[in-house]
This record gives sequence, C-alpha cells and structure tokens, in this order.
Amino acid sequence: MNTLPDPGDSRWEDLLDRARKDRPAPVDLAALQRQVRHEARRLATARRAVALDWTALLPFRSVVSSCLAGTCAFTLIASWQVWQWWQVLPWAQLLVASSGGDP
Amino acid sequence: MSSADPSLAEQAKAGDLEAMNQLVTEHHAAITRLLWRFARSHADLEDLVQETFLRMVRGLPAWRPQQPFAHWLLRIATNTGRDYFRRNRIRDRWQVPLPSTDDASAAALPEAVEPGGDPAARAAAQEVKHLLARLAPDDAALLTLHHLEGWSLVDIAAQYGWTVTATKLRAWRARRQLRALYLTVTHS
Repeated sequence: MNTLPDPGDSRWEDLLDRARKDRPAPVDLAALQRQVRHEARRLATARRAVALDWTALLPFRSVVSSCLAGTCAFTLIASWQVWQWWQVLPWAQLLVASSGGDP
Repeated sequence: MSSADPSLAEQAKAGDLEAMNQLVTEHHAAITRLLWRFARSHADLEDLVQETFLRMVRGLPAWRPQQPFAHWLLRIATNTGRDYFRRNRIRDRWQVPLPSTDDASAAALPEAVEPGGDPAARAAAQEVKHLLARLAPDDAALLTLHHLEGWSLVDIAAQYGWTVTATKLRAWRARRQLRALYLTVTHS
C-alpha cells in the first residue's frame, strides 16, 4: 500500500478508516438457502432430462432390432444389385461384340 | 474466511442438498462482508450474495478437491463484484442524468441511505463507493479490494488472473485518477 501515491491528504485516510468500519446488515439466510436448493434441484432435473434423452435414442431392444433390420436390408439390396449386374453383363458383352469392339 | 470441510464440498458436488445448505451457512457471512464493499445498496447486496451462491451451485461440477473451496468461492465472489461494477457502468452510461444532479446530491440519493450500522462509517463508505464508481470497472474492483478490504496487490493480481506488474501499474493509474476525483469533490 505504501508504494502507491496518496490520493489526497489525511482526510482521505480518515475517510478510508471510517469506511472500513462499515458493516452490512445480515442477508436473509433462509431465503438464500431456498434459492440454492431450488437451483440445485433445477440443475439436477435438467441433467437427468439430458441423460434420458440420450438413452431414449438408444434403448437396448431398439439397438438389437435396428442392427438386425439394417443387416437384412443391406443383404437384400446387395443381393439385388448382384443379381441385376449378373443379368446386365451378358447384354453388355453382346453390345460390345455388335459394335465391332467399341463400347 | 473459515476453511470449509473438503468432504462437505465434495458431498455438495455430488448433489447433496444438505451439504450445500451447510456451505451456504458457513460462508455467507464472509461473502456478504466482502460483497458489501461493492454493493451500492442492501438490495443490491442481497442480489450479489445470491448470484455468488447460484454461481457456486452451477460451478460445483467443475470444482476440484485439490483447490481450496474457500478460495474458489472467494474468486466467484470477487468476479461477481467486478461484473456488478461493469453492469452499473453500462447502466449509468445509458441513464439520463437529472438536471440538478451534482456530487453532493448524488451522495444523498435514497439508495445511498441504508438502515443499521454506524451512520458515520456508512456515510464514509458511501462516499468512497461513490468515488470508486466513477472509475473503470476493473480499476474500481481493484481499489475496492485494496482500500476497503486491505488486500495486497499480489493477492488481487492472483484473484483476477492479472500479472503483478500490470496490477501495480493499473493501481497507480487508478489511484491517480481517484486522487483527482477526490480533490475535485472536496474543493467543489
């Protein structure tokens, strides 16, 4: 504190001394605790809601059935694609032959 | 500020409402005393104390037991006080001044008169707060902690995350400005 310039005169120091003695009236502790409890409950509810949202997206039964459905769909589409190309390829060979080698 | 039981803070962090209640009971007096240095009125003080403890509740998941809880809470309180100065600065900037307002009448505004306590100390504190309110918010927070709470500049630098050199420079400039304001008020 001594390294700083004195902002005024001794009246300033007296003013500060008196100001430091000022004490606040007590705050309403019960109301403060109610607010803190309310905020804690609100936050806990919000956190639980977020957690529930994420778990609702991926419940165990849905995960198994979704995987099965996805596997079936993939197998079906892949088989259909293979079958389709199997049918088309001989025709493509015929086209190549009829055009004298140019595709 | 008394040192809190670390297990109490850990219980509060885990969501124990009773532990939170105990933390509020244990720390509210020290926090109130500190924030009274910043507040212009008792209504503002109640808001600041409440804001500090609500920030505590929201910040508890990020608090680590290696960090002393009382210091952590004190940092929240000083930041709340600084934010209060910033909000007031913005509010004062947009407030239309009354035609007859001067330093003497501003000091006697109804919000400056609060019941209870030593009237001479209260009047002196309001005079100092009125002068500090005319500084930049960070400067006002610095000088509030330094002059009214008796904190060292090193402690203030650590509290606000400033370097000690920058804090000393800021304090020197702020006190020079405060001196000019004080002399203007006393000579007018």
